[in-house]
Amino acid sequence: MTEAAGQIDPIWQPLAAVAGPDHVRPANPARDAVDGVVPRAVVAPPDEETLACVLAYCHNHRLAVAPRGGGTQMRLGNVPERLDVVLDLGRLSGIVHYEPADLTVTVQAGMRLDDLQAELARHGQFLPIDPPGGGRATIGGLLATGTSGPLRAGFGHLRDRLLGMRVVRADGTVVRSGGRVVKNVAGYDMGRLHTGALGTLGVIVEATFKVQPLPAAWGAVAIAPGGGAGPRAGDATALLALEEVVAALLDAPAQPVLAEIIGPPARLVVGFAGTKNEVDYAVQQACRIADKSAGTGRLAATPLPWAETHAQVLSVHREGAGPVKGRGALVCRLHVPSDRAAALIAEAAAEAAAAGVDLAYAAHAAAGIIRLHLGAEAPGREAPGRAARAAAQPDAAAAVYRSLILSWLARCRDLGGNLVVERAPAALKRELPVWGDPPASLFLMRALKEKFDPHRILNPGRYVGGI
Amino acid sequence: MRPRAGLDGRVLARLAEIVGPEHVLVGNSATLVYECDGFTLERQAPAAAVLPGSAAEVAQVVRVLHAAGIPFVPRGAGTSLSGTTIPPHDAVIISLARMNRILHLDFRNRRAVVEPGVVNAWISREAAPRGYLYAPDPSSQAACTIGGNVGTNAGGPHTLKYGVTVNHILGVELVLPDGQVVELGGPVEDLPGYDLVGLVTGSEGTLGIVTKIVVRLVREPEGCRTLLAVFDSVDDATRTVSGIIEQGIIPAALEMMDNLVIQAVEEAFGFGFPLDAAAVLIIEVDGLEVGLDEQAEACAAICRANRARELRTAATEEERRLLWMSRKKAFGALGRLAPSYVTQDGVVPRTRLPEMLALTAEIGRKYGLRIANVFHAGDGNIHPILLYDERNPDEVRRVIQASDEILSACIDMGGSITGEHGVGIEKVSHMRRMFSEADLAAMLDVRAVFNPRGLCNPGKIFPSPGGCVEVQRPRRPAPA
Repeated sequence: MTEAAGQIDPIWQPLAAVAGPDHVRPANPARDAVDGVVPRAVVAPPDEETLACVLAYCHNHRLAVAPRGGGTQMRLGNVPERLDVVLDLGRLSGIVHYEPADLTVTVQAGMRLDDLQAELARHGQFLPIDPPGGGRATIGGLLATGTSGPLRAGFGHLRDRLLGMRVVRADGTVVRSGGRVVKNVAGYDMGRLHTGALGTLGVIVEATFKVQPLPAAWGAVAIAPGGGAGPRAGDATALLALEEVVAALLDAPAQPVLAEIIGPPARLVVGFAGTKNEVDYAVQQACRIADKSAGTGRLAATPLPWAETHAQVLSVHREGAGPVKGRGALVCRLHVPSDRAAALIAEAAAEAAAAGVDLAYAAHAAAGIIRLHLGAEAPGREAPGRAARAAAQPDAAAAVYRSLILSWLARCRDLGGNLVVERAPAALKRELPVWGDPPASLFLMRALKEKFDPHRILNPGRYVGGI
Repeated sequence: MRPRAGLDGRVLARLAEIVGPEHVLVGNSATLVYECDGFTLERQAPAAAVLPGSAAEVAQVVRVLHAAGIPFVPRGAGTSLSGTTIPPHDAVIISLARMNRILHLDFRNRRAVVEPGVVNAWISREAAPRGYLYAPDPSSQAACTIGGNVGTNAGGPHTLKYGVTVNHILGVELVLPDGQVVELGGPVEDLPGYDLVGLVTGSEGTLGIVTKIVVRLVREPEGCRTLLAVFDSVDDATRTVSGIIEQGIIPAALEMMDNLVIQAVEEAFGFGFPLDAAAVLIIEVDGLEVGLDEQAEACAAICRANRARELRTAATEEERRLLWMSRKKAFGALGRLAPSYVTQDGVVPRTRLPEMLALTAEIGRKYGLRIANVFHAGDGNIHPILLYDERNPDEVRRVIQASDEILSACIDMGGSITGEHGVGIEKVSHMRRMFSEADLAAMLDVRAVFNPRGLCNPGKIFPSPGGCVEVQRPRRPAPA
């Protein structure tokens, strides 16, 4: 354990005694802060038992804990109410049990997705999840954040692959649910409760999944106005045309494993997996559907190589596109009925343009999940927008973002959906409904939190409804 | 008819006011059908049965019972095989049978909104003209209800490829055990907040009563090939199953029937199964026409490599339908072999199937029982069916011991005591063998949040605190 110059935090010594001195270090404000809140210590337990002891210590001493995996999604959620310990799962990074012939794998939560995929690939298998944040993400982090990627269109959500879970409760008790078999209804499905709970009910330490044989072939098709980069002004029309193509594709025999609307400029990317024959057929079908929908010749379909196309889709989800690319100030996710996704993107783009804010979008079209990246800068030098003027006045900029988010939240609400602000500067977050509207069942969620973490040590304040 | 203790005339009158007197059933003859479900080793008469016609009525009924401290049990079609809907003493059955409307079919968003009493097969029937279906297909799908399917997280033959009930539910409306109504999830995917829909699905009615369900609709596959592979040994058949999964082939369904089952279904349906076969596999692959022959041939090759003596492909849709009917109605057909039977529902890793089947046969020999097997082989979900005569108390005792041994073996192999039928009352005593006290305490914490007074379906899933629960024994002979 190294000591920060001149100051010894009173929690270091007892934490070192519990976790082992090599596994506790002072926080590095640049790397370890969560939304600007700097923890007092970072603990990286070497095993589950130590992790349980650390949590029990924190529970007894009311120390606030933020579990961390690959650290790719630490910006998710409200600004922490308080934070004492970042619990780094990085050392719990092994495969516990892998039986390729059963198509099941049990892994520790701190294992990086890339490392797991590499091992599965040796047996011709994979876990069908493609998080936009990349394979640096850990299994525990992916579960806790309920992350999904474009492949959910074909392979479902990660929670649909989850067979069993081990969790350390706030008081340090280790509990197990589910199992290693592909069908199991003994007891409550506790794994689902912890999936997407942002670690607020316990720390996930191990999970078992149903894995998938790697398809023999993959293929992709891009469907765009005029066969390439259309003018941005035409995006709204293009989006509505693409919506019809999505509907036709989802109604056709060859079901896509990926159906993403990305832009600007607006285009639809669909992907297929299967045997070579199946993929060839599916690609032809997609081209046919696009041609048929484009009665006036507005849309063109282009078969594309899978790997680059998939990577490009992920990059738009991760960092936006066009003028926003890599320079997004704020990212939000909208959940709506899938048949309204394209229209909603068009409306959001129009509102953003009117407010002088650049916007990039990527949507899981079949699921109705839209990710919007809002630019920090004005769209064009010749017509400085409100955001540009506001850049000099942070409060005014915040007001612009806030009014856009509230307007989109209202649109989602009208459709029975909701909105999540995935990423925003901490100061701005405090002014935004980060988790959208509170769900009707918030009282049950709060009661569960009270049962599972009575001292509110696990990510206090960061979750839905300030849980 | 005089109501039982705990349910006085005042409460009964109030219930009749809410649902109408014709929908409150009291007295042994009226409530006979509610004494048990598909698990016939136990039965208990309810104090009354109430049949509300709407979510609002369910909520009012629950509020009245909650205020009076009377336990209640939600019930769909009563096809549960684990006693999930058997009422404890003095409990009121709340039957959802009248709430059987499909409220909305939304093909563009691929979902349907239904009431809990809707029969599973009705959704696919309504969606079929547009080329869609509701994927989970329990063998009892012609009778069982969606509400019950949510309660037990029901499976079925085609869940191998398409997933179980929980993978197909987006939202539910839940009447909590105190009568509050709350929406969980919704028509939209991945709404922020804890996944309470996932928690309620499979909770066997212990967290509340589901009064509305949003389900996914799935595009019908373009085509399918259905193969029947005939084997001279059970071992060869189970090795074929492991071989197919190991090769990375995920058929839509992969089902096994052994000789006893073949004999029974052949007598009942006359499909043309070879009566001397040790086992048959039904293998169905589905998807795009262009890929089907390739998939089917890959499966056939594995069958041949494992000494299948005969391979048949269902040539017509009618033949396929008859083959599936034989499989899905196999349980009923077994009534021909013995006066009574108990269906077990264990799960083992698929690679352990050959070992598990051999062990099941050995257990049958040890206890002098005939055990038939018809099950979801591709999922490792075994359904050993123990045949017996309820008039023979010694045989009943041996059936209970043999069941116990089979389930213990499943646990030892890293499997589960139930794949799709639920714990109910039948497997309460096995929960402690599968889970630690701490594991169960976490689940009970969940129940305490939703159902703090334990009035909603008490005595199910969880052993009572401290001490071992006695093995369930039949109190009364079960009907054949």
